[in-house]
Amino acid sequence: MCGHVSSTRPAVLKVELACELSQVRPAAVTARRFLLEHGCAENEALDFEMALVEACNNGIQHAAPNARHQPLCLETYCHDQFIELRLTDHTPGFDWPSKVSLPDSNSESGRGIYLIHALMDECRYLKGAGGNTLVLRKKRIRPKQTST
Amino acid sequence: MKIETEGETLRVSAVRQLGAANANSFRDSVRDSLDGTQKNIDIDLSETTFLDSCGLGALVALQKTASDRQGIVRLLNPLPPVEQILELTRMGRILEIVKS
Repeated sequence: MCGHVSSTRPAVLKVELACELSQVRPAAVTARRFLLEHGCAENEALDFEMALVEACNNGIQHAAPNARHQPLCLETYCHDQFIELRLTDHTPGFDWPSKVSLPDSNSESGRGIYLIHALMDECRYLKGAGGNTLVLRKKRIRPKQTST
Repeated sequence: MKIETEGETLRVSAVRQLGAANANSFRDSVRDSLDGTQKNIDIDLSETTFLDSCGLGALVALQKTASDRQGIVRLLNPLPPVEQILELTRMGRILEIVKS
């Protein structure tokens, strides 16, 4: 978990994407570029992009049939100390597993949440009547300070 | 995507990305390209910049297809971001990853 919250305002990117798998990757690339523009390291931006993709895929693949017309709301926050994704979906919701493990090697599915856990430092899933919000955080890699 | 045959091996290359939006069509195209003589599938990942869990599922499905023919799937020269995903999910347990 990130124990320190900076008092400075984070940079924020808000994107809405249609409930279609083809929309996910362009949104993820936009978020990665946003993070890079705000000083994030390439590796942490790539990890964030992958977690974002898995989260969006999950939200789209499990969206309720009568909610597919509703967009997913994607918010990316770039704080000094951490980066955060807030994804609001319209799935029926589920209990986010507290312990995540890889599926059987021959399984053709079930690796998405594992990847999110592996790549991010904190995962919370908030279920609500009007939608569910997945909050993912990753600590930022701080550049080494050079002494003068 | 480009698909060629070399004896008992089907060689797949020029795959730009392998994710939820194209994983099923990728899997089906490769399967449909197998004739009675090929048992192995080589997938050149040197141009693949993105792989997600749905793409991994497609690779596992193709491994099963090859295994049914007593063959194997080899993943050739994955780029670092793709290699990281393969390592995190321990795909080396069932797929041969070759770097040259």
